[in-house]
Amino acid sequence: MAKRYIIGIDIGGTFTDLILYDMYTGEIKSLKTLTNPINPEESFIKAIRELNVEINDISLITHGTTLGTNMLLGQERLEIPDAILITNKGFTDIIEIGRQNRPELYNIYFIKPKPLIPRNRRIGIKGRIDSKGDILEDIDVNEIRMIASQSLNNVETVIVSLLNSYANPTHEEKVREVISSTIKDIYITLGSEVDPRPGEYERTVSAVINGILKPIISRYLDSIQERLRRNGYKHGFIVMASHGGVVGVNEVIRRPSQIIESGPAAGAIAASYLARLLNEDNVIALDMGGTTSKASAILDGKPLITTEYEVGGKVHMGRVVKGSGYPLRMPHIDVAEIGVGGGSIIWVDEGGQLRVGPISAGADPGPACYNRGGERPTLTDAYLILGWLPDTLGGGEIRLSIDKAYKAFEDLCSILGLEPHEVAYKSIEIANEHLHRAISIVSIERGYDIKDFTIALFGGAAPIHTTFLIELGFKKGFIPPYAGVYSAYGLIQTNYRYILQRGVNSYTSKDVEERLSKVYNEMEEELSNILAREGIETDDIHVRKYLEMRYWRQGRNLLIEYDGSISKAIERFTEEYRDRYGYTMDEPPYIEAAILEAEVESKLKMILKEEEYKPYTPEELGVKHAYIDGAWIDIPIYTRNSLNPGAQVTGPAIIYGDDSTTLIRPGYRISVNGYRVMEVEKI
Amino acid sequence: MSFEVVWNALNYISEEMGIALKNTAYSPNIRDRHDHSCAILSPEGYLIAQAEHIPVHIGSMAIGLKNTLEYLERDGIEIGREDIIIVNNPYISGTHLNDVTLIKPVYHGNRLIAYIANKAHHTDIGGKVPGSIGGDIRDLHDEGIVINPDFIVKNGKPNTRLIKKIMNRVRTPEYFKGDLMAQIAAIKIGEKRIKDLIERVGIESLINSYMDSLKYVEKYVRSRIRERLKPGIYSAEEYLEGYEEDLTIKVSIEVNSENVKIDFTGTSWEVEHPLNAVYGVTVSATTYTLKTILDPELPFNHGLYNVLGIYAPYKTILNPSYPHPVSAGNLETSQRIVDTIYRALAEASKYIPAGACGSMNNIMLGSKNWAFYETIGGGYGGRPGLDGVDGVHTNMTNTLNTPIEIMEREYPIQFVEYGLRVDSCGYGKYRGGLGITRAFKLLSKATLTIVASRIRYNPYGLKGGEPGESGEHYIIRKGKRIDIGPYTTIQLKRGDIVYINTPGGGGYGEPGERDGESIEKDLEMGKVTREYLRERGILKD
Repeated sequence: MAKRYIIGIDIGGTFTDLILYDMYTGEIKSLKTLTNPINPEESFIKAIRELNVEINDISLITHGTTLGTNMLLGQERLEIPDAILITNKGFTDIIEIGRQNRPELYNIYFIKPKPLIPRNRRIGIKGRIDSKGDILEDIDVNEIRMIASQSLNNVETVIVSLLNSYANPTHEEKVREVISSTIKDIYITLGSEVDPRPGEYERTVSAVINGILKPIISRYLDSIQERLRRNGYKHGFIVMASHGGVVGVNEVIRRPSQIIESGPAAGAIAASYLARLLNEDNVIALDMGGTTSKASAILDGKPLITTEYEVGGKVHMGRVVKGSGYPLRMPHIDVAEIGVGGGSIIWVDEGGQLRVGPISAGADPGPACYNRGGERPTLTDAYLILGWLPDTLGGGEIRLSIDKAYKAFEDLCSILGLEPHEVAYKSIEIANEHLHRAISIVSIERGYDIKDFTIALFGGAAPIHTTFLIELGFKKGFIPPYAGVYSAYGLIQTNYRYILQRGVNSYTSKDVEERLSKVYNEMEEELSNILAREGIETDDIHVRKYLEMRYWRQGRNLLIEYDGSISKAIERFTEEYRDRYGYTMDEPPYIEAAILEAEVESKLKMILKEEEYKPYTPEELGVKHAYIDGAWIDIPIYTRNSLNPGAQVTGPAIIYGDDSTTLIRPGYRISVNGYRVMEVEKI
Repeated sequence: MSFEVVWNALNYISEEMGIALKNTAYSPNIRDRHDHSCAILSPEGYLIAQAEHIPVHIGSMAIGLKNTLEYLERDGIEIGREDIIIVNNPYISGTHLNDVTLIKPVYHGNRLIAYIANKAHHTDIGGKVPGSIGGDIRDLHDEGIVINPDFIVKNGKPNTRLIKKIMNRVRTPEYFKGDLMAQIAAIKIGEKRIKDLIERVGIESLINSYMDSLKYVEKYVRSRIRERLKPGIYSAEEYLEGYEEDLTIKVSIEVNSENVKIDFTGTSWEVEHPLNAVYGVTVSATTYTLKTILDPELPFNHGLYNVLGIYAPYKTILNPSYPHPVSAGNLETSQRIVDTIYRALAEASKYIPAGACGSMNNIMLGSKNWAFYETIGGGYGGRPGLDGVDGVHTNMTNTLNTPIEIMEREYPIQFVEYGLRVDSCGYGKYRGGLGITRAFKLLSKATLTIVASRIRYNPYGLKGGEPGESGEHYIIRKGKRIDIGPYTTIQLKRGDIVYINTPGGGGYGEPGERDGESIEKDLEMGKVTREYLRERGILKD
């Protein structure tokens, strides 16, 4: 039985997660190993070997990696390749100065992110183009030749980023032509091809990130492919991109910044698959792990995308701190991350306020109740004190110690003058508020109403918060099976996706339609070139066109679908603007960019089948004394495995799973559907 | 519901309002430079939660909003539930005329339960110079239109008469209107969110959270003071270039285990120039400085002022009398307040850095129908254990620069240079940061106003570190150099090139103690030249 498996491998800084799906039996297997930070490709092959399957029974391998981010952060033991930046004379410090702001307002000891190319590796050249694209001073070909022959020997990658190249790329293209005619075997990256929009700092950084990743990512992917070949593997190998689609290796190497956040994108993709499966258009995906929680919004079955993103940026209360990392204006899944997870430490600050996170006990030593040396109280200890957890976790691997949990809470109780369960419950409320904040950032802040959404909860800690979060106004909650490792599912559920963009920079008048049709024709041609290079031969391509629109003087665009009619686009813009901000201005909107998004249905992905079922009331397995909504009560217990499709349970109830626990408060009901997803509703 | 939950939610609502405002505003000043703040107040007018993106709004907002509500009460003006008040008179709302404040009451049934407010820096508010800042101005009314508290929205309807009146007085009316609409929309978002919050936690939880959060901040700050400041009395004096005579800022600070008293007695009397800083600005600069020393994450609300006592004698440049001009007070004077307090507390705390650039290097450029404003960063001072930072906004300002490509697209200017200013740092064991060189050519005639200090008085070094290089600004006209003083308005001709060279940061510790590797790196990266090191005897050949 050849070609029966598809595999997803996510290599993070600490762990390598692998998920295998058997297309014949529908069986799913997962595996977790430690990442080898010096040789991540080694971890890759090792994980596949550990599966013990015939290598050519695997028909597709999808890879997610944080290699790019980790390298830029200096976490990976890889050196940034020797790179040269060519830019305008007199403007070589742009990437060092950044936007002049400091990332932290009140921290005297702030530092700015280190420039990706040091000052002595930047070269200023003659030549200048103005904002209209007119040439003010031509470049000097001899100067470029000199640079090529004197400064570019033994350099692996060169980045060319000139002022106003978004309006006219000819100077950058000329520089490339001269360099490539002088030197072979050098990667050349142009600002205008990476990010054709105004904003010299952001465009240069985008180009630099691509330029320095090219040699590293191509070596890395080559090495994986080579090892796969040596092991006899003959089938497909693709990579997850930050926008949530998969792309082929050639496309990654052409623009490696596409895969910089491929790991975190997987969770949102898994949730969007769930949304489509359940015919839910609008879903908030909440992934709550040990240290942080990530919220993302799914609209019409697709994750919300943003182009405001900083690689390696610090996150503060759900937002990326502007100027703390390297801005990358490319489509990324819009994720709000907040420092609250099951391992978050509970503490009292100097003003007497009870706080939860952002410090976490992590996996080592872990919460106090794990009895592995952790002494500080965590959210998990609070769950245990409240009676919400089973006696053991991880399939019996961890025996929970209630005594250790109480001991860890002693100090908090004496400072606050409260009983342990009162402190624990208050901590849960505070954690809920943090989760609410992350959810709000990706929903109400983007102009959407929570009441139009359902919420999907996964990651080890999220299901316990389900009913608290539904209370914020969600129609329903969903808890998928294997909630604890659910985000890795995204790797084997996604389609190919390519996003192209072009600067338009024009008001919306009737004659812009003609220009747009030219721009889209160009992009469609580029798309078919990409698809040809990727070896994709199919007619099953969904192409969507968007315009980035705003009132001209504003700084933020709305993404508006475009069907060839500018008047319809204006209508859509006006409607969305009013929905979001409550007013409109009486002036025509402005178009900054045109975007082409192509999705190619992947034939090799996990398809879950719906089981038939009849509603039934399962038998409870026992009761547990637990504290909920202000009282200690006896609560019926179930296990996730014992709940088959059709099971209906009315709260209060606690459901123990292999990797997560679900708490259902009074007034809520669970029903398990044909995909074994628990649907939670208010009665 | 506990105050932690409610107060967190109120802080988040303030932030969300700020995001909406930034996303819809028209002027680069708000949308890119984030020169705006949003806040929620208790019915008594105490600031409870605030999201500020720029330090000059911390503190001044608390003072200014309380003043505004008191003004309305004194004049017997009642604000209806669908009314929004506008104000920019700095003697009431606390900064300068460009900062336009909006405030709206929130009712639950018949009960007043909160106020929502925001403040945003409008690029031009009229007056004698484009950008409405600086210039040789003697009276507040020459700096721009002065709006005393008035209805910008009455019974839910915009006050078109007032909006038109303001639009007629400013140079860029379409920007004013776009920004104003954004401010109103943000207020409405805040109101809606507060109502959602009440639905979730109940009205009593909201009301109770006010007092609890004020007390909480008070307690927190006291505990930080005990941790970070040695009790004692400290004083310092710093100088600010004046239009005529130079000005003195003098401070005496008394730290005990419960309170910090900051007294500016001995500071220069108010001047007939825009360097006066209204009391709100003095409070902002003081609050900023203390927060950086006590805890960068120090929670903030009105409760702080039960711990911090700030006294500035009336009719001095730090608490001037109406209608003295004030536009540069929250720019240059506020920076100097910070410098002075740091200097005074250098003995009370081991965390104090050497002098930062100390100027906001404000550039106002414009003509009849356009106005552009930006501030330019400089060097941050050396710090105990850490070099300063090159080319960055320091202390009271933290705006993003306007991209060159945006400026060239929207205004008749063309850049000729933009980079770090080599050799401008004060050397030391931990060197100061470099200033910035920014130079552009005019493609049409325009009026340029520069408000920049630290031209005669360099940013100071600490513990033996050298002072940073002072600022140096000039124009090249037909090959000839024309120097520009600290506060200058000048008519530019087409083809003129303006050079702005901002100050570097002061050094920390003796230059002789700097380690060889760091010196090597400075040279390799071209941050300092060989001559610079030779002059200091660090390099022998």
